[in-house]
Amino acid sequence: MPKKYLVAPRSQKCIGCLLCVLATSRYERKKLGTKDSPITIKGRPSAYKIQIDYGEEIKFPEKIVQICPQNCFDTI
Amino acid sequence: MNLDYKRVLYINFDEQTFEFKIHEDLWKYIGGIAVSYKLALDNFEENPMILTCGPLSGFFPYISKANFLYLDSGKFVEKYGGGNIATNMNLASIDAIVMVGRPKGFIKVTVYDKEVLFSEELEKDFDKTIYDFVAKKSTINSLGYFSFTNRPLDSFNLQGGFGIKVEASRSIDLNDFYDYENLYQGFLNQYKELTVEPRNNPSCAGCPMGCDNSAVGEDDLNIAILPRCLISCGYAEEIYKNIPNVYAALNSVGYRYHHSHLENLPRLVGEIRANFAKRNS
Repeated sequence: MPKKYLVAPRSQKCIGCLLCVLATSRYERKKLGTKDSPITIKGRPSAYKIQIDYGEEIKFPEKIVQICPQNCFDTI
Repeated sequence: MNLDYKRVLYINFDEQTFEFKIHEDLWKYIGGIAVSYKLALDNFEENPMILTCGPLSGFFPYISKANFLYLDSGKFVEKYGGGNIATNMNLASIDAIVMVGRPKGFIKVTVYDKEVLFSEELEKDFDKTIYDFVAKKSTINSLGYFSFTNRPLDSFNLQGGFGIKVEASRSIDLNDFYDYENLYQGFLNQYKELTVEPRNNPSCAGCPMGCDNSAVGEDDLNIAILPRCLISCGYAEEIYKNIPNVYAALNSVGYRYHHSHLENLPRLVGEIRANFAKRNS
């Protein structure tokens, strides 16, 4: 099965809840925290930007798609 | 996150100095308002302002708020607000910040793991910066959006202001991932027990709701002691006043609190309030 990548085509909908940041750290590293997460949320309330570090592998992109309350993510 | 003690950052705005202290005696107070009260009582003479997070801030959904406590004419004033300050403090292993003195101008405070930097700013530069926690004149908020009050605070009138940025520099190893994950998903799925509706507004760290009340404080809510010690959102009181839920959550990340510690909390807080009233009379 071809590998899937996480993308954020609807990042303008982000409300800054950090669920994706915490979830990536949890699923990928088995850690609680924001420091080691491949996803970073930049900007300020009402103008957030999602940054994904493609240098690091995200093994469970579907879980990140699922956890976002605003449906910002997709897999390709 | 500190499993066996509380780590407190002391900041003096008059001298622009800082000190990190370990308090083993605060462990039994769990966090939040109980720790704030105890620190306020211990530092009463210096008229402190105290900012606390909870032991689970950022680790479970809807535990997203911080507590700001100060004294007004000999009375405690407690304020609660969201944003990311509580999560960042917990992830920097800082359970409380005790601030003494009052800034005359505008001070930017950057908190690192073992270091704190102070820089004086012009008001226009200060206003442009986004802080995890900012107090300016009679307003208090996080990220310039998540207010700690429902209305301007007449009793809290700073001459200048201060803004705090906390570097969330630590992460915690999950020893029992599946246990934690089951609990996390369980709490996340209880969103129907919240007394707010999901919306598309900016949301506090760790909360997916984006509710209409995220921008305002919790002045008009009367919440039980346990959720106030975890500093869960006031609208998630039903979930986090349940002792077995909280016990399981605390244990899943490594805290060794027992049921009796959680059951004793209202008594501990009551004792501090009584001591405070005695001191004032």
